[in-house]
Amino acid sequence: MNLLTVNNLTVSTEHQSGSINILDNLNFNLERGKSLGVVGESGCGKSMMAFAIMGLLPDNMTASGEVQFGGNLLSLPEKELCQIRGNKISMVFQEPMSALNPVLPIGFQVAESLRLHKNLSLHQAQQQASKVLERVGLPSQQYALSLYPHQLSGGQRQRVVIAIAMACKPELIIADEPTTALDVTIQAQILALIAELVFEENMSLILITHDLGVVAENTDQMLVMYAGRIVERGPTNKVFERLAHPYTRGLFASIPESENPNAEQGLQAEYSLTNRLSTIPGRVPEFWERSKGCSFADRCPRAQANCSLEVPAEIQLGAGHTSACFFPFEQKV
Amino acid sequence: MNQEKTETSLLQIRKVVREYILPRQQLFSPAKRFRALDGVSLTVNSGESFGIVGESGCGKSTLARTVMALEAPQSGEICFQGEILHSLKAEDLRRVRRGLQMIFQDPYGSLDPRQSVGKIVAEPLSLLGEMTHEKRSEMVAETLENVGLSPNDAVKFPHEFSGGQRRRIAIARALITRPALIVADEPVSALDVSVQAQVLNLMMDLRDRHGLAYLFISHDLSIVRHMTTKVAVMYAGRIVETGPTQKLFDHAQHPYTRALLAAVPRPDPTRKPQKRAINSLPNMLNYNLETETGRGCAYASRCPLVEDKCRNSSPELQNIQAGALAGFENNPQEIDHKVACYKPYAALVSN
Repeated sequence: MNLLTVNNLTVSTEHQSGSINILDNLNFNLERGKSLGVVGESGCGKSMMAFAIMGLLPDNMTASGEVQFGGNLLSLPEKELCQIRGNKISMVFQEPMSALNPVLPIGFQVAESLRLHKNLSLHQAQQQASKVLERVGLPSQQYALSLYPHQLSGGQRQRVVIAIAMACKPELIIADEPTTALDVTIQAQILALIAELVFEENMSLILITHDLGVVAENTDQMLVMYAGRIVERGPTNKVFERLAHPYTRGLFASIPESENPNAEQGLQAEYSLTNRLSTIPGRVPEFWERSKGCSFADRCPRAQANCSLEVPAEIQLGAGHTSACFFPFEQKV
Repeated sequence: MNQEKTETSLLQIRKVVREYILPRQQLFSPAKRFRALDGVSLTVNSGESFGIVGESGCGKSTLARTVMALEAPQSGEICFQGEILHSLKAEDLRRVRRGLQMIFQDPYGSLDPRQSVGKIVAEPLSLLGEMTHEKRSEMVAETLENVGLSPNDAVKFPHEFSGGQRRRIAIARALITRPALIVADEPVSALDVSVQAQVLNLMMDLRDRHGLAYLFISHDLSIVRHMTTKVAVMYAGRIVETGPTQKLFDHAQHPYTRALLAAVPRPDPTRKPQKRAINSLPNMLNYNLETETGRGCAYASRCPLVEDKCRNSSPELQNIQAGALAGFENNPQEIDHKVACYKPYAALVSN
């Protein structure tokens, strides 16, 4: 049973050179209780996708296509959308400091969505809020309710943002880089917390990140995005088994190893020139620089003439695993 | 510190303490002090990459600023090429500074938007004394080429460059005086992984070509592992473990180092089912304030192995007993690996 179905989602904006698609024909769906990871570098449209689903696009952008969540969210009037946002779908934003209001106590901010969506009085909502805060690991009494964001550490602020997102027990949570600004130990705690809450409440999760490690450890399905398109998708373990698209493979290869597979065999030679990281040449194109064909063509080691002329269609590689590439890799090396 | 070592080492940090005074809570209460660096000692030899890792608030950046003589330590000394930095006169400090450059954390905040790239990169040349205009632009062009930019970029302004290119400009600025040591404070944070790899490769090439030494500060363990030959793990202003990078990462001894390594997500879905043990970790910043200096191990409140002894006296950095440890059987000579803990991993394993 699909909770969310996205069909031909296209987001476009006006630029000097005419109308430009920031997101180009995205199709995917998400089952209830499952988690979907979205990876890609900055500028590839990950966050725009989240904003399009939430109906939070900036004014100069228009979305077309369908976002089925009960009904088509893109065609709902703002008033009805307000009843879904924060209630049925909620979002954990990237920067907890700017997502929280610095002049309101956190208890009030957590209670806000409860008052709005559940018609609770301030008192009831605050009682409920203190339970939610306790649930995310901010043991409360009245004390936590009256704290202000500046009195909290980065990890605690992110917990508050999660508490706000969780307060109404939504069916879908979209977490946009929830741990980018946090230390690894805190990141691990926050991800464990999200996983636990999502599992207990049988919520679905869209986890947007640039960190392949985070996706590998926390999601069932994944999408790899590049320049507004989905270039590879599938069950997370299948995608990592094969790394079919050259971009996915390039991303994977650019990460320095954190674990030495030969640790047991004693010491390796000192680091030297031979120990270079593999890189993807060039950079992510700005959205107005994207080429007509595959946007990865000019950085791709396997590109041939037709790559820059036409957009490759997604081809099936295995159960649910597809790649939008004319020349996908066969085996993981 | 024996005599030979002093001669080859480029940078020596000896028991550096740096405290900040915090605002008073009440009018007449004594001001609290925040000890950002608490007796840090380390040695960087020429041509060596030394990594500093730790979470935010552990004093990494304070260490970088103190090494750059942007801040003076309250006690201890920093010795660069045989001269003690904070005792130098301003004039002498300028002379020493040509050997000592820094790549700052934020490539947006650290490049003046109103200066052309050529001007930004040429700025440290004033340390080398009088120089003709031609000589100056020649050096700028050469350095820009060195970091993979075009000499024509000198007339452009920072806003015309992407994040990765800005890092290259920042590296060019640090490189132009041909320093012996570059202090790199999170040089690749906030870059996309593919661009990050380009910048890291550039830094390694430059190291090999010019024999640079790096003091490489990062919170990203896999980058430090890749870039450095020696590493120190900092926690709450102290070094808790130090040693050759590979040995330290493969045979981490301090419970904090082990917790850090365990928390790094790896791009391997098969690892998912293993529940990673994360103990509840209170905020380190508060902790620095609460501890009386010199009493107890700073990590005690987060440590799963804590005993009474840990809370009462703080462990000193000590060499790990050679030979007796798990994983060191083949290499009994190894004595560089030091840990400040009463219960290092090796001791637990051997029991």
